[in-house]
Amino acid sequence: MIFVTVGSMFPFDRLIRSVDELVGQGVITEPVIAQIGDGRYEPRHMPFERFLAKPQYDQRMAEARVLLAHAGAGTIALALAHHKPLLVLPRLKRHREHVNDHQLATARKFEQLGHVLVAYDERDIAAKLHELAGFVPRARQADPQRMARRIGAFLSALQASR
Amino acid sequence: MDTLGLRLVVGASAGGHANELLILLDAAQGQWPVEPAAYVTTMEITAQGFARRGKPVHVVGESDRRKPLQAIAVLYRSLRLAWALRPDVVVTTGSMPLAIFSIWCKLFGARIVWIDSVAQIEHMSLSGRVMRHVADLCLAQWPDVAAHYPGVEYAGEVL
Repeated sequence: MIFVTVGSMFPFDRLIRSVDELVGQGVITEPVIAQIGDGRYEPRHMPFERFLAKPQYDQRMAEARVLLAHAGAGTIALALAHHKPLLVLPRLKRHREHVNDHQLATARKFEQLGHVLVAYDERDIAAKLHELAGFVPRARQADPQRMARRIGAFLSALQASR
Repeated sequence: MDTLGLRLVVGASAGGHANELLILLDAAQGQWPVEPAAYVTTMEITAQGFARRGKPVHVVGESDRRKPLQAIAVLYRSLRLAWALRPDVVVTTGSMPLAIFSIWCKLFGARIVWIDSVAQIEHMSLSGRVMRHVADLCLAQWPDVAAHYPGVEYAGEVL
């Protein structure tokens, strides 16, 4: 199963429409489930949900063989936590999909680090999905404890100075 | 004035910012001298995630640079909230509505901890570039990004 997600409630019709068309054309034959947020485009060839509560969202992710999503850092991190191969299509400012093009930088960075594959254009989705079958994402080491300790030290110093 | 400890208020916008804050708060269990007294976010849908932690959650509304009218509403609501809460310290993972709230709190005497999003990979966010002049502790989550701005630290990443 392929889980396609816009990663939030913000529409990303370019992603959803492209995948729906690939399913309609028979290019994608594997079952696809989509989470489409507030998007205007309603898929005709694949089941979809607009929003998913966190437990259901995580469940979809766990059940999926591969993921297809926007290049949000949160979505990428979640995919890595689930050890799932992820193909991202960055949201672009010129399509009014985000306030700026930072998802392009996010996509490039995580691609360089070997964590994800990237379709820089929606027309590349089919080829990249094919490539995703043999892709093993590199695990990511995050250190929230270190950040918590740093802020804890700041708070303790503040407390002591009162 | 509360003599028992700092009045800590934490906040984050709906979506990725809120996720980052929740991860940080989980990591902070037992690490911080005080627990948050209240939470600030931008949408009801996110409020539930914070409400589970058992303290009041305040929703100031959503706004970004594309929606100036909503920003005025956020300015007003966050001013009222900043005055009502008058925190000693604010810890936030952004974005713009929380920058606005933090600036009001700063004017009322709070110290500010600003954490720029892990999604900011090449440079700090617009809000972050403003907040690094306002915040008392300012963190970026990529070493290269932090190195680029005087006074901004790298102290690990939430994800």
